[in-house]
Amino acid sequence: MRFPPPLSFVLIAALSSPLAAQGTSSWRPEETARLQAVLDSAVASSLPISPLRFKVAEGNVKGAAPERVIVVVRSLADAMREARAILGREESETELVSAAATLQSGVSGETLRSLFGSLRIRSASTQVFVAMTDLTQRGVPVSEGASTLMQLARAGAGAPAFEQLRSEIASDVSAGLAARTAVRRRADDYLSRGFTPQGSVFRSPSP
Amino acid sequence: MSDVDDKIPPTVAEAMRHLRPPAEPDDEQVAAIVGAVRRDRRTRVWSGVTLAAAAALVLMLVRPDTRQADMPVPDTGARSVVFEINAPDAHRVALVGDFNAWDASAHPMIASAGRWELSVPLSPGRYTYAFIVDGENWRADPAASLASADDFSRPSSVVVINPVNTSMTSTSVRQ
Amino acid sequence: MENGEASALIDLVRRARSGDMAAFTDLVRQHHGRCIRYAERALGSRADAEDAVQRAFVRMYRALGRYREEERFSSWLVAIVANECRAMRRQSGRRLMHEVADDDAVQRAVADPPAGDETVRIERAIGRLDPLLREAFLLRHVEGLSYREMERVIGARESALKMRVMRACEALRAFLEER
Repeated sequence: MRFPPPLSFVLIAALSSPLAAQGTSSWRPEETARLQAVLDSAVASSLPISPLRFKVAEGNVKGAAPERVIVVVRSLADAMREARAILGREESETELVSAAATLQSGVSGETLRSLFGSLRIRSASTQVFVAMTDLTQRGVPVSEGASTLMQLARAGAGAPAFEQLRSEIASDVSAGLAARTAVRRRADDYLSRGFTPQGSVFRSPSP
Repeated sequence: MSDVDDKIPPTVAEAMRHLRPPAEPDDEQVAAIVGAVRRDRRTRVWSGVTLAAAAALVLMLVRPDTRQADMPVPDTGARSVVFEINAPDAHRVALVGDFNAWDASAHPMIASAGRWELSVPLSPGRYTYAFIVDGENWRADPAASLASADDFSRPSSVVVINPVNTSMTSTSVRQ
Repeated sequence: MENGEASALIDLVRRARSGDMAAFTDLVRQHHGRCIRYAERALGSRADAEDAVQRAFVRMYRALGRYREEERFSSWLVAIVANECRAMRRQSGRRLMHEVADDDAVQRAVADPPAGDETVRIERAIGRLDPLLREAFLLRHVEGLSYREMERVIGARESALKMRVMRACEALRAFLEER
């Protein structure tokens, strides 16, 4: 195991970091064992482990009970397995975790598969999953969000376009617009402008 | 070349001869700028070291003998990402997330006229993060993507750093 | 810019990029005054200009690794300052349209150091421009950016930028012909 030199720094960090007080060291042995079983199972399925470890750290710092942390980690691991089955084995960790988050936000595997399949630009997958999760979290009905994103994907939207969409909808919502209205307006606008070969939205003339 | 075509009306061109020239360098301001850059550099170097230490720590607590190769550690390919949030009444704001093992002491943000910001080197990947205002108020990044809100009953945001090209997803990054 | 000057500047940039703070300080000294003038005119306030320029230089330092030497350094830097000024206006909640530099502020600005009547007139006229027109005019005819360089700052198409510059010139002419 590799430590950053000097070793004493890590020990100092261990003593002073809030993780020392809130880490799994304060859990009961049976709780730690159950968490370990989830992680071992994930390792055995060749799933990436760091996303799961991050979830543990996040849960601990947010003051969640061990039981809750275990449930969340298990749920993430299950979502990653399902996402992998849909995306195939060549996916990147980032793509996989983004797809898993989409499933966890309430989007069905079938919808995820259709969304993935509608992309003309394969490298846009992570961004379209992030956009899908975002829309669902904002209360846009899944079928509506998915069909809009698929429409954009089929028209040639790529990573930059989906990121722009997500970011502009965030601004629109901050300014008081309903998410459903925002997504429809932005999507119609992008479709009327069209996309570059790299998947960006063509800029429109400004006043 | 089209740039040659745009002419300035003679009265305007004549008046522009009287425009104030560039100001003389102000020693105090130059020093303030250089000082700000030095502090910014220190924060970024420190965050790199702290991140590696925090990553090693989480590793120890969860699974002592698993390969550390799974842990992302800042290396070449890391890009500086600016995180920012408006919190005019805050006394302190901490940036926490996957990149610092959610350690509230790792990335204290820097205040500037009610807005708080910090630049952090991140390798390509997907990171969940949040801001903690005054030690207890959790806030997501209003300009960024929402993470699963229900995980632990506290808001979070997501940032995705793409490899290869310079684009990135989420966060209200300027520039 | 003379060849000798140009290569001295590139040398400074390279050294600053590799962490030489003395070289970076020199870069700041050489460009600070020009940046302040732009920001002052764009924002209508010296204090805001100093804030914006400081942030711009910090961002410039962070971005040095991305600076490509075939770009004009001064244009690249002014672009960062211009972006910072835009961000500052948005952040402080001011509307971009219909806001014009306070006449008193212009007066104060040109009082230090004391300026002649002609200077006051042109600076005040620029201050009266609509902010979008002012920005386009300053970048094109004061800072000397090409339309391509301006597109990167403002994100509008060249045709729109030319229109803004033209309208700015017309407005300035009208202001200057007032008596």
